[in-house]
Amino acid sequence: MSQVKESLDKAPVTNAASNKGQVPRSKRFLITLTGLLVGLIIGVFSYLLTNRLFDSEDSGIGLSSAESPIVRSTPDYPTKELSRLDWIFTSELDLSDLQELSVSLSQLNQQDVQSLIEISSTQPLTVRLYTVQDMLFESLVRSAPEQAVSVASNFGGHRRQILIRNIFSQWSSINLESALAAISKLQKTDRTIALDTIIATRIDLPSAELSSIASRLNFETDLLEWQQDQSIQELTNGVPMNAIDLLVNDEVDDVKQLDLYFEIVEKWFQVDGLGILTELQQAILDDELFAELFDYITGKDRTASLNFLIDVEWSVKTRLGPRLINAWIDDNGEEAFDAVRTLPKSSFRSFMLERLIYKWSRKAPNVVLDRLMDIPRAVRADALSISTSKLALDSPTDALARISALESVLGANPDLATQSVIRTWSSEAPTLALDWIQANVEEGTSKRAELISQILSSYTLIDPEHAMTVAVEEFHPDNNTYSLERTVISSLLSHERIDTAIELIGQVRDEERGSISTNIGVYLVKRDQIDRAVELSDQVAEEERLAYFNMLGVNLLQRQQPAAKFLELIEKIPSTSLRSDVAEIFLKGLAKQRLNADQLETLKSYVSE
Amino acid sequence: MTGGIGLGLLFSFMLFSPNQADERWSPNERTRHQVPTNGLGDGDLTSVPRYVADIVELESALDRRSALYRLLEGKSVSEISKLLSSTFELEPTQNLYSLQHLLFVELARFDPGKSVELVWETERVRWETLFDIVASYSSSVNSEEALRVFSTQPEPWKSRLINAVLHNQQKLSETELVAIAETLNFIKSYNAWITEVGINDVIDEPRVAFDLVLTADMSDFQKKEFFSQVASRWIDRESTSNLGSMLSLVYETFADTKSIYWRSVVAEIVATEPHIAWEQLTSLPVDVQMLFNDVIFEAWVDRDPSAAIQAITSQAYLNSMTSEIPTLLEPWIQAVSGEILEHIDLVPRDFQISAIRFAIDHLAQHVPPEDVIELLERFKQRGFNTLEATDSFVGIWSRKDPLATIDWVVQNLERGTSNGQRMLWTTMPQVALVDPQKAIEIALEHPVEKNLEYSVMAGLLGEERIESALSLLPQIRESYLNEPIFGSMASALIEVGRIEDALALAETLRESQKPRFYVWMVLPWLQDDLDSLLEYLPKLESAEIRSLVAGTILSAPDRHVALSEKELEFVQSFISEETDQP
Repeated sequence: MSQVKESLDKAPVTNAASNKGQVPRSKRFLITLTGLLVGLIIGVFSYLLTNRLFDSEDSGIGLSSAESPIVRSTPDYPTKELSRLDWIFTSELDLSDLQELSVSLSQLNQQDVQSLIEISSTQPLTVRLYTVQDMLFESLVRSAPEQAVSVASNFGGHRRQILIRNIFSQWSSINLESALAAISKLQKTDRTIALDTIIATRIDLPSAELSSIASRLNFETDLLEWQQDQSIQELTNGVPMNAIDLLVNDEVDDVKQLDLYFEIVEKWFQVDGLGILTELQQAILDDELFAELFDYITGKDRTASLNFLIDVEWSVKTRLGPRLINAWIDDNGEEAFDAVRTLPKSSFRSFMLERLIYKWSRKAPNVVLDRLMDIPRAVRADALSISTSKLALDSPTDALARISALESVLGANPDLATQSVIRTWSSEAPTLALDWIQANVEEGTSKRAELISQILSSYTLIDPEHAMTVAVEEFHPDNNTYSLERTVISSLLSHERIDTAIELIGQVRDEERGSISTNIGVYLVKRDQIDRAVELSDQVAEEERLAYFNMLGVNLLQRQQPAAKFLELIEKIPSTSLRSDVAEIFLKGLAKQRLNADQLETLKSYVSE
Repeated sequence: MTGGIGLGLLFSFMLFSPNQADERWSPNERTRHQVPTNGLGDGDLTSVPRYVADIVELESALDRRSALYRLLEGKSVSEISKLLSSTFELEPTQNLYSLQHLLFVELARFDPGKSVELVWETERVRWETLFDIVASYSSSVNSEEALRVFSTQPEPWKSRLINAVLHNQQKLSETELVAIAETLNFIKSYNAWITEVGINDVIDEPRVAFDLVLTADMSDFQKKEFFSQVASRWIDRESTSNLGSMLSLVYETFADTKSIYWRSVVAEIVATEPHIAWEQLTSLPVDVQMLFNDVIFEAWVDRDPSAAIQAITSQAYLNSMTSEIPTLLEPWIQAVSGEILEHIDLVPRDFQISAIRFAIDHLAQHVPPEDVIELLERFKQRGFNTLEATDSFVGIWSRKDPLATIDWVVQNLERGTSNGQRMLWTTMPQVALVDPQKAIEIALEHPVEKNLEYSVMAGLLGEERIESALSLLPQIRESYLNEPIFGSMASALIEVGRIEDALALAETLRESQKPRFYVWMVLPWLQDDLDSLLEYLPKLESAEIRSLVAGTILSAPDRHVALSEKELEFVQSFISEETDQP
């Protein structure tokens, strides 16, 4: 009280001190009012400044997380209460922040939590975003697990799977029955994940009880699949090959079981090493699946794998060797080459060298040509041929020039390489290739005939008449190895242009006409045009007709053809004696294997007494 | 005035509460939003359990989490790791597992390597879940380090972990990822992920999605996996009445690609209703029918073999698709192979012999040989031609049990084609591999014209059993037909570098046999190692032989001999100088 009094006493003293220039009362009021206004202005300004400062700090977080390429979207918080929780999506949350979030979550209703989850799905990834989402879902599962599953479905594949796991793990501990019932409503992938989670975490659940629930809630198939996976994993520890067999023979597509295959093979490899390759190749696996597993195992040490193959059966070598080389060349062709080259001299080495050159020359033609002298002579010609052929896809003339530059390399066989290049060229521009040959290669030589034979097949499709003219004109009696006319006709037949082929048969030289007509005849009978094939026999010299019908018959007795067609052909042979001769030939040979007793009797009936 | 300012400030702070600013976030200094709770968050945190065993007992997941976080505050990575490790000793319960998940999350954020190590210590059944946790949470902190750690793990976990990181991380650009993938050797996983992401965007546009996979840089098996995903999604959305148009689209997209691609797609979309797919297929162009019919038919056979066989054996179908029948029959024969004798009449007469052979081939892989032999006999009794089927069966049996096979073959030569010749030829090489002496003895019991000695030697040389083959050589009967054996033997020796041994074989032959021996030997030699052939040419035993070999070299196909001018002259010199040959 005395203190109050004292201060009251002091005030007039102070005022007295300042009252030397006395200010009127109204003026004093005005000054106070101005002070109040200034104070208010400063206060408002301070408030705004504070806000501004915090705002910029907040946006600073956004910027600091601009390390992340995704720009944080501005969330649209449905309520002011929720907007106060926007700090949960920032980047530097510590464990105490998470504890605080936990506290906050217990105060939110289901809709609020759901809103926060939705907002979270648009946030950039921070170190704690997933944890925050997990907590939001935990909160939602507690009150509305079905809703949690529904909200989780809005998330992308991988994240959704983890959320589904978390949801069902928690849900099943709260209410197993309803969690299991919900599984059947999920899509297959999510269903499997949810079931795996429940079974893996509810270890207290006896399997009989689980089976009974599965039966009641109609997810027996899923449970069976899960149980099979478990038994396969158990088998892996005992006899891995049995586990592989089980996978091969089950009803599930291998594509969906690749991880299991890998797991078995990895474990098996740890025990038996590369020895598993020979066993694995006996399993009846799809080629593509086997390739996947084989590449994985051999990829661990390709040189060791190559040496392992030295001692396996030849049939295994020929199956696995090329696979090894192909994958190796894709990764490192030079390393593969050096490894194969240093194998001990053997059939296997020769075989592998051939395969290596075949693949490597296509993969890296320039590298192969640069190392041509290092390549053993036995495969050097192939190396030059295949590499330049590959280069010819871009520029045939450059490829031909490259051959010229390398023609002095021992064993390179430039003629063979030129043929390959011309063949490649002809697939794109047969007319240009033909022009080049006719302008650059000496007429009447076997080299010219060989090169023309390379392009004629493609050229025929552009101008069949001229192709046949070229074929006939380019024939040279000293060089009769190449039947260019046959190439023309074969090309037409392989492109289903049978009418043109028959039209051109008249232009074929007499000495070739019989055998080329046979090609056409075989084509016809295989397409059920027996009458036309019989008609065509008129084009064949009489002394060649027996061979003609014999060849047609042989083709009709193949497995893909019905035997009735064969008998129809024999029956339609125009001359009785020729028919008898043909039937007799077949009765002594092929017909015995391919015809049943009654069909043989029919055939016998064509033989003249 | 000053007082006024003070009062103004007071008013303004009363009117505009500073809390309104503070409640917005300040990471380290924000005013915490205090809310009462009825759980662990009600402010009395001193009651929070301090031991994992106690935390596990808490009922609510959020409470457990909160308690654990409090426990972990201030703990180092190694302490978290030890704590997690120690929980493996506790009685496993569902709550413990969920707590361990949280611990794995905390550890993975700082030490993905240690996390992976600890996952390996858990039960196998938990690995998928735990690896996914470790990968996705570590990728949100340091994805590059996570990738480094995960790239050293064995498959299938390596791919799984890397895939999870790639899906979750947002810091690394594609260029950076490619560089890391190449360095850490997971480019295959990277390509798969890129395709997966691309497909997710277009999964409801099958043609675009298929094209994306077709051009992806990945293995055929991976492509099949993606094709299957797209097709599965497609068929889920479409009605079965659209199967025809779906097949048309598959044809347009895949006609020029490998069959393994479109087969998986067709199989997926027709799997549930193959008979409807078949019906709709028959109204599509012939090319489409011929491409897809076997896949659809196979699916139909799986469902209903009786209905399926009726469809392809109708006269109308036989008339239009005869050439397709043998292939189509195969899955049906496999399905009924156990009762093929009873079902053979369902097969059109022209295809019965092939059907029997196919059924026998299938059964030979799965049932005892006695049963197959009995079945063959019953077919024979019913008048079917079983010669080819028997040959084929012997081929399969001989690879499993050559000695039993040869005993049966020798007693039943009349059951195979050409008086059993093919059965003998198939079986003898297999017998030679398990018992060379027995093989040669059997061969010697047959006329030399059957050429069985050659088949024995071919079996041995085919597997590079050179020593075994050499040991049998003295027993080979002298015959023109057996002379190629010596040439083949010599070639095999040359191929492994034993040239002197090969040439020494000539000494065991009569003079009249030697020319043919050298001719047989030269062709493979010049293909395999022309340099050594040219080196040995002057050392060959006589001028006549040298000339013969030189002539053989010169007349070999161009493909095998690319002699230089100098080499050509060298080889020719043996012809011109030492013999009268041109």
